Amino acid sequence: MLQPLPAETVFEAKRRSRRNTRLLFGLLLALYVVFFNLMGLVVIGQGTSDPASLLREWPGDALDGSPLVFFTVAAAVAAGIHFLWASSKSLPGILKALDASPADEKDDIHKRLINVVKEVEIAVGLSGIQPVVISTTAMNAFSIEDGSGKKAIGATEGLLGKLSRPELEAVIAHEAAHLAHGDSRVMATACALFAVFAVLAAALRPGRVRRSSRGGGGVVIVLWLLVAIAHFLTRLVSMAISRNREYMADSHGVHMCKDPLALADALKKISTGDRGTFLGNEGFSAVFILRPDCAAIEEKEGFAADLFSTHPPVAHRIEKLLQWARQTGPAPASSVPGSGVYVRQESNGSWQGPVPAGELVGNSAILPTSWIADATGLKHASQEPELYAEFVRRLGAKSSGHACPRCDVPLASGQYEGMPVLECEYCKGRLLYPGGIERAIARRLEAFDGAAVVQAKAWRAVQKGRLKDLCKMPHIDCPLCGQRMNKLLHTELTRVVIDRCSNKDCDVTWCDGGEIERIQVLVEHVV
Amino acid sequence: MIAVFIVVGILVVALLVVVSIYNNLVRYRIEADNAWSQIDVQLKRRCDLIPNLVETVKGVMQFERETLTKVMEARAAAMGAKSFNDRVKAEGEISGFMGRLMAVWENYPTLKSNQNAMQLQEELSSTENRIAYTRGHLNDVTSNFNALVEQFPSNVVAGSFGFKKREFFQTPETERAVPKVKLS
Repeated sequence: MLQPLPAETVFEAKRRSRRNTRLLFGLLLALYVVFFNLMGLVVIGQGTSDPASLLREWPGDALDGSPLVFFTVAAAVAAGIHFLWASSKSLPGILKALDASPADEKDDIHKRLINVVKEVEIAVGLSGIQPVVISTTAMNAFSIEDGSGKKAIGATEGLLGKLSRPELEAVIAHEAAHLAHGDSRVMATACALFAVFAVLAAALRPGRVRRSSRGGGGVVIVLWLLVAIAHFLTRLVSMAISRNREYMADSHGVHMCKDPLALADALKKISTGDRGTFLGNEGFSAVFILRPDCAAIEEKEGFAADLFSTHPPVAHRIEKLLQWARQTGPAPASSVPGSGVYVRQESNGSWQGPVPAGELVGNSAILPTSWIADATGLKHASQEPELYAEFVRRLGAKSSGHACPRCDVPLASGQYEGMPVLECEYCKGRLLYPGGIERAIARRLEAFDGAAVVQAKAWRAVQKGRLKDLCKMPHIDCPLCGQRMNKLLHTELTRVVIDRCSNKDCDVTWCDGGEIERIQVLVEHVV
Repeated sequence: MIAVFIVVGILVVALLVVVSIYNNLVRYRIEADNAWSQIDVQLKRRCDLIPNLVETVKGVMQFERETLTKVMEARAAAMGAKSFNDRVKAEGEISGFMGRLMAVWENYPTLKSNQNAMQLQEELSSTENRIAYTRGHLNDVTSNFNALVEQFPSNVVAGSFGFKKREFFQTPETERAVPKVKLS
């Protein structure tokens, strides 16, 4: 389980960050030394008839101008210049590349971000973190530190709009922990360093190489090797720095905000919310990667970056946070059996109660996704049998007996575009029977107003990511037959990713809130 | 001759270790002092906000009259506190009442629709967080500092230069309790 940190303060973190940066330089230096020497061998070796003798003479006599010494020194100089260049990338440039602008003091929602950033500054003992905002409805947050130590924490408008204050606090605390640990800075330098090799890789695409490789075959092979190693190293470094540090940042972040549930809820909202691709994901940077400032994109220590990399970690992280919450939850509820039930207010994260168990049923303030805590522990309201029964009762005759794959609440049977569907009242997701998508597209019973059209088009305009990334979202299980649902791209036109049951006999489709409408609007209005 | 070198070498190394431990202790002390002054700033900020808060909600929160009176009393007590302990106690009480007010805030739709009240709520939440976060940071720094003061070999250095264990900023019991309120 996640443990509160053994009080690691900024000092220890700074020391570790410096060590990591040195390690990074060592790695780069080694790469350059190998590369320069191989290059030298190849270039000089082209004129000689006996490559074996060249190899023997390579180390030579150090005083006698051996090629090994010459190329190694040259490599060190080149690596030094490269490193200085990479670590001097400045914050304004990176922010510009990310399309982030400073938060607006006069805007109430931005003001909240500014306040939260000020709060976490205090918590980690850093100062001068610039709060920035990216105008996109997608949800993400990031932290950046450049070579000169300028820092920024950013959030998207989508995140600011959809998270409650405690959730925003938890997310920003997580990002501040990255800054305090020095992860953002090491990451920024690492990305800037290795981005150059990515540029090389693009320049060496097979088609181009074959044409130009007459007489320079050896050079090209060495270049290829270098690029491959650099690519591997980039992966390695970012995995070592980013993945492993996520749990640390979660842990430190929660240690600050004292609310593991808020972070768990925020992670869940981000992972199941807007599935749009983000400004910074791989799809975008694949377009970008030819430019040197593409490094900025990869410097993000963001939630989305982690979410999209591999899906188990999200579920894993949430589970660990819940374990933590179970241990620290509202103490009175777990200590006095039968004292009643505590209910968490999502808007401010406070626990209210105790409510006698009997009074919970029929209380309209409790939603299926509300957290409740009683003597048996912490759970969603819908996991409490009596309350689940109550939610079913509220649906009345519409209740279908199946549960929403996202919210665990009963699905209601309803009509959409004249056909029977199952609907979730909370996330507005819909379960369509086989052929439902085609029917929805063909029919025009639902009218979409101008705003819906503009919104759908705006959404589509930012869908540049690769399908591969979208399909890495966590899988859900079919509400009807319980089998796994596959991710399915509707069409390249709409780029909406829906879930279809892998059981061919069942073949139902799950559309998250707004997805089917988006498909319809785009099909009707884009063509 | 060699023996002299060895002795001098050991002395130099020992001196370096002492200097580094001493510097570390000083760094933690400065950081802890900073945190204390930060807390002071935030507590003052909260005291300034309280009259505004009471003015804004007194007409609306009929069920919280008592809390509002108490919070004003605690504020007066905190501002007029003679000793450090009295002040910490009064501030702890304020935190408890503020936690309660923040928790029931959502139950008053009139406050949720009033822009001034919303901005005030944001300011108050932020101030409460700042106080809590600074306290957390202070306690982290203090516990590391205290560990240095107690552990060998840094305890020797700490002892000879007069570094003493520092006090934690304790959370009063009232503040930790979950407010007992009725769900609307």
